[in-house]
Amino acid sequence: MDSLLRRDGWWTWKEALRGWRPRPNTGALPKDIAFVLVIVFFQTTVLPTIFGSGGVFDLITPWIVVSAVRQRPTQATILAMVAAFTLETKLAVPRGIYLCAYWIMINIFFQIRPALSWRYRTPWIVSYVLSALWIVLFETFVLSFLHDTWTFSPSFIVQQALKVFVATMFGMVLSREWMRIDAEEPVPQ
Amino acid sequence: MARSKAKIFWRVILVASLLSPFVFLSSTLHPWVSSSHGTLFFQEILYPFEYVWDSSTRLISGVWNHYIDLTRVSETNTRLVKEISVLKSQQLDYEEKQNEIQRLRSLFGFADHFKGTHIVAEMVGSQAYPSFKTMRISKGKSDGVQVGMPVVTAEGVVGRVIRSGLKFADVHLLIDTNFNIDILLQRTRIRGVLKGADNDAVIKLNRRVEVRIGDTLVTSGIIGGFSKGLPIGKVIRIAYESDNISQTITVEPWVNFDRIEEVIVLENHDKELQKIMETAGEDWLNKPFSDNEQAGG
Repeated sequence: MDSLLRRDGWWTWKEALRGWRPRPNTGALPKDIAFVLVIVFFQTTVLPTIFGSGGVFDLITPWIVVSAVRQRPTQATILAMVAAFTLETKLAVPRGIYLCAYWIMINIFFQIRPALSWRYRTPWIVSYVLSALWIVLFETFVLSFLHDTWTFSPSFIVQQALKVFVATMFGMVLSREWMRIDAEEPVPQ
Repeated sequence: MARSKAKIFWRVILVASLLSPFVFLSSTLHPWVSSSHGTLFFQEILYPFEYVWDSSTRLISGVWNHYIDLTRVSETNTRLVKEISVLKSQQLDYEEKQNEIQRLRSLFGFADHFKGTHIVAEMVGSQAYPSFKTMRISKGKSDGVQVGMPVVTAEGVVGRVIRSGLKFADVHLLIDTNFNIDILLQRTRIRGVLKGADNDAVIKLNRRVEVRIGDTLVTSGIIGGFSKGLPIGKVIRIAYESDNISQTITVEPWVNFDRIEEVIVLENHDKELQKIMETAGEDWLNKPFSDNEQAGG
């Protein structure tokens, strides 16, 4: 069957492109790190330019969730740390805020992932919502330490809710390939 | 056996991760302050892409604003011509006053406010996160920008350089909750420490200190590398605290942080401060005063 395929220049080009399709688990760590950096770039540079100060969306958290479910623990930890560290050295956030938050998050995933069946939507949705909420609450907790006089404004709450919603939706797009009935179980055994 | 060992290992790691915030966040709540290649490795990789993205969006918006959306240009032009004629007459008056002040300062043997050189830099990208306020500029270590240098615009103080890459630098903005600056109330010459608070800044003073709405705040020039007299903002709100001792004053910065395009990095940073930072580390600036005192700072 293979010999029937036309392996011309176009075919080679298409195959090479398929290998570079952005996803959290390419199978090669350097490629995964490159994609994590692309996601950080999108979140911190591209989206704020397009949407202004209201465009603070969280794309990194669902990306890390998929890595935590799909990758081996060491690889997933490296990816989460790269994302967190890049985010921290770009912003004026207190050092360690994302390193701690993401490290805790992925370690919890390593414990629970064998117990769940990831072919269904529910575990994915719950994971994305809880992870995004965890990051939002952790940020808010640290922020409340820094602010002497800080109140939860309605716009802040709306913005955070939107952040959780977008993170969940983006995550569902990322994990659609494992939600088919004939899909392989994404957790490495 | 090996499987259960791995299980135990990852459980230990989980416990360690749960304890990590106590270690990280109890020691400091300040951002990464650095100019080392190691810390900024990923930022150095991403910066060229950021620069290209920013240049292209700037080009597109420039074409739109300068060649297509010209509906208000004539109106603005007329207004600006009028403003220029008023400003010209004011400038003559100011020049005369400046000469007089210079004469008096030299007569009394006062030091000059600002003698150093400056670096003009463009803002790259937009403020990424509204809660943690920072700004990236297009000049870095190769242009002479160092950690701790003050950043201003024509309107007033913008912030301080906290990270300096090869071709870029990150500026910690005045309005960030982690930013502190020593100030003077221009009218009453009262000193205090101003702290960022979202889109404004706040300062806590003794209730007996006389403050009025509209009072101007300037830098005291005592610490932080900012020369004396740089405008910061004006008082917009005064709230008396329930302890009957203090008052919280809200200050609106002169600089509109949403509209910054170019900034000036002042190279006349505090030489003494630079020496301390070389010895005590770059994050010395951000340590609380009590810590620095204990360290002999």
